[in-house]
Amino acid sequence: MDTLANLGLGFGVALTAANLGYCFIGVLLGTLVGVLPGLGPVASVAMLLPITFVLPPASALIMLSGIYYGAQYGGSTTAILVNIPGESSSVVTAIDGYKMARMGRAGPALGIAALGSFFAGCVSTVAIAFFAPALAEVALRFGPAEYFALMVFGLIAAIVLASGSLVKAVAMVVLGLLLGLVGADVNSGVPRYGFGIPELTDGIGFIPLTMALFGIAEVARNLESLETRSVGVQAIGRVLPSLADIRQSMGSILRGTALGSVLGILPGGGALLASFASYSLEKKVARPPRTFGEGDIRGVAGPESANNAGAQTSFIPMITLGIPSNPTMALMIGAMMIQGVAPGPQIMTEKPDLFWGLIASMWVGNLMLLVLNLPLVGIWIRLLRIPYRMLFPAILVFCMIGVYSASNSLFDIYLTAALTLLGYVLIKLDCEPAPLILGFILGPLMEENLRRALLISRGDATVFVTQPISLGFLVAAVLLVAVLVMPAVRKTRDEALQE
Amino acid sequence: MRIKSPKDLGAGFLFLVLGGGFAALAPGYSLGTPARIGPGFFPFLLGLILAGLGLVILARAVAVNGEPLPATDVRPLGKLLLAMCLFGVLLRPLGLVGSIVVLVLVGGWAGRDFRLKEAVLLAAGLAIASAILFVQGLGVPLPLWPKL
Repeated sequence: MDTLANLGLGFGVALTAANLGYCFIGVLLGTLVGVLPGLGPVASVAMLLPITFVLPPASALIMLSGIYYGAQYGGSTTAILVNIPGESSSVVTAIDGYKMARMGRAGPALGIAALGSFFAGCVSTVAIAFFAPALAEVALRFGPAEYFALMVFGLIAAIVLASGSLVKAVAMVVLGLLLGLVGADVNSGVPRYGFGIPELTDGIGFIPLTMALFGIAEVARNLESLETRSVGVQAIGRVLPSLADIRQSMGSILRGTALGSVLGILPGGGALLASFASYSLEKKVARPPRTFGEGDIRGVAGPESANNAGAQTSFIPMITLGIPSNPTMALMIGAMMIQGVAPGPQIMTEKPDLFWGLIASMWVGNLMLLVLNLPLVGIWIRLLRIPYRMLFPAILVFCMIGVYSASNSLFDIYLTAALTLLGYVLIKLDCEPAPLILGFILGPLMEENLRRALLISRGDATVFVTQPISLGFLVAAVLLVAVLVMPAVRKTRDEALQE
Repeated sequence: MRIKSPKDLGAGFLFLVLGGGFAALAPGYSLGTPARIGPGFFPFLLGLILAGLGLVILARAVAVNGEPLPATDVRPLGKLLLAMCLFGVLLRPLGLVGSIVVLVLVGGWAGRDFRLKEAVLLAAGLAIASAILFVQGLGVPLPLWPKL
């Protein structure tokens, strides 16, 4: 069977000694950085990106995805132990997980999170192996008009989940698109918005932008507001959940995995939506329901499985369509482009070793996480005690050297400073930077598809609404916005995001 | 007219200016024709959209109540930016080790409870670690020490 042969090829790539090593380093570094206070998966991946540049593309991607789920797991660890979710997708984990920790059941909470994540990882790896080729097949038939419409829809769907104002999120996407257009136009070679600065001919660097927005601007915000909190860590107890725990969580893990796998594929889905949806589902189906919020293990098992499944299946639209469904996927696309690999449906036929190697490595990485985290949890806890005043200079150093090493250009250091200022101002004005990075990645791609679509239709802009697939995407985008603007939906969304 | 949401006012104004700026410069890069759009076309379109969204947010600022501007202390940010620029200036003449020490000391000063002794130790540790990881390990072409 084809898929099996392909998976075989993938494991052939993922199980080479070198790639196993990179996967291991990625998972380890990812967890390490993800556990550190104030650093979520996006910041972790951004900061560790430059390390992967020296690697060949397949190894680099394997290591980066290792970093990603490592960081995700690290975020859940802090959510459970100290009630500080590393990122929004582990917010719901903190609700029951931290309660469990306060009751002296931190160990089983961590254990079930790891087991659930591993199970979800296995299932979603298989889901990717079967689903991604099918989606790529469909996408291969897309013309430029369909692609353009798909990107519009993808961007809209992705920001629907951004907390806060929808108008601001759309504005941030547009600003990101614009920043992505800075530099020489691909077709005519005309330098745009360079203001005579030769370094800007190549455009605004992806690394300076991400380091500035997700690294240093975040540090500036934290320094202002973060109190020097003393982190009280609960005793862990035994890590392995008891048989009764596992029996109780079984249903939640299965439901979470299914829900997460499906939601991850949707543009705008991924880990965040998956974990929230799973938590409310568990709350609904649980008998008796009262124990939720009081340290119910199902409230950890469900969302943790769901967010890992979602995190993984969100690779499907990223790699087959080149559409990032969340900022981390935008970083992955950026990393691929730096490696000279263009994500898209052609990747499966052109670079099967890279694609299937990455998929196989996901399973390997999940296994490593399981083996690594349970025994090493003691070390992670010690990392939690590192005070922020020692941590942020290290972030600063890492970002600066990362920026320089990506381009060997001093200009990029000053550019990072300027973008940090921009990011800080935007954060202060309640404009979240996540949508901006999505737009930034898609800017040049959207322009190219717009250009081609109009070229083919001889300048007839109605091509976007006369082609059925393109029309479908645009209608879906409009519907999404319309639904969100409706007051009732708005309220539930705000409540759900606040919960 | 009373400003009900200062944050929206700031954001709307920023988007209006940025969008307007992008749109204003775009025709200079040639808009082209519909069938062959020029390098200025897409930025022009996006600039107008951004400016429009800026106006919407501005309108909201006077119509809908919002949060007041947060108490802002720009000193940490200023010190971070200063540290970054110093790092850029010093990196080539001073070498990696020296410029990291400056980066950590000036950057660390942005923190709330800056302790000199601790910062010096941290600077030394980070300088050594980055020298080993980036220059030795990853082969980033950077001088470690000042050129004499």
